[in-house]
Amino acid sequence: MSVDPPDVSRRLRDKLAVRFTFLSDPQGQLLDALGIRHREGVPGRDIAFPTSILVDESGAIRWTYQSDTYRQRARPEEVFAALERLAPGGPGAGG
Amino acid sequence: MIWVSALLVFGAVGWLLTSLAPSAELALGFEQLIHAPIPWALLATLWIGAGLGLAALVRGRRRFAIPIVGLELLLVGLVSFYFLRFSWLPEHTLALDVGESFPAYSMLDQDEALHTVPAGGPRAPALYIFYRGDW
Repeated sequence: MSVDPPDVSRRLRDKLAVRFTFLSDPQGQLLDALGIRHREGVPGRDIAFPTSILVDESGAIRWTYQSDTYRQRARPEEVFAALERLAPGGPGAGG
Repeated sequence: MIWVSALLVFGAVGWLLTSLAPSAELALGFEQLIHAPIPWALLATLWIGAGLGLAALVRGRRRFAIPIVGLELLLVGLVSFYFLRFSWLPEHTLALDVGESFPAYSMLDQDEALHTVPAGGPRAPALYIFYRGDW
């Protein structure tokens, strides 16, 4: 998810040859709701603070990640561990 | 002094290049460049090296040192730019905690299809990755 319009996201998806969905939030509607709007993050434009959020089927946030730089991202093993906890029967599953 | 400078700068850059290992999981880039914090020791070594090179140039006025120091400054500039650009973000904290509901939204995807998701469930689980944008 980024503030890029759909056509920019489409070019990025084609370039990366990935299949996940790229949502466009040009007005920063979700950035404000989540408190992650980086005002003038690039000259003349607000962008998102780098953030990852895992949401379960009840709409509840189950895992979050924020970094101190745009260069640093969540490690794949951290993300997969969070996904495993979310899976039915996983370590984080209730009942 | 010029040789100490060259040793520091070229040695540090050589170490950086030879220490990079392609990531098994990532199609693009290297593990160390994507996940590592800012390498202050490496940057400090480069800056000290470049400083010594400039000082040698000013004090010795040796013509042969000009291309060496020029190359050093170019390398130090490139490495510093890579590691430090977009590296200082203002204080920020996620407004929602684990356990709270992700906000409702209605947004277009890359193919201009509308995705409308309510704040509560039931809904499809999802991993949202907010990134700076590709321009």
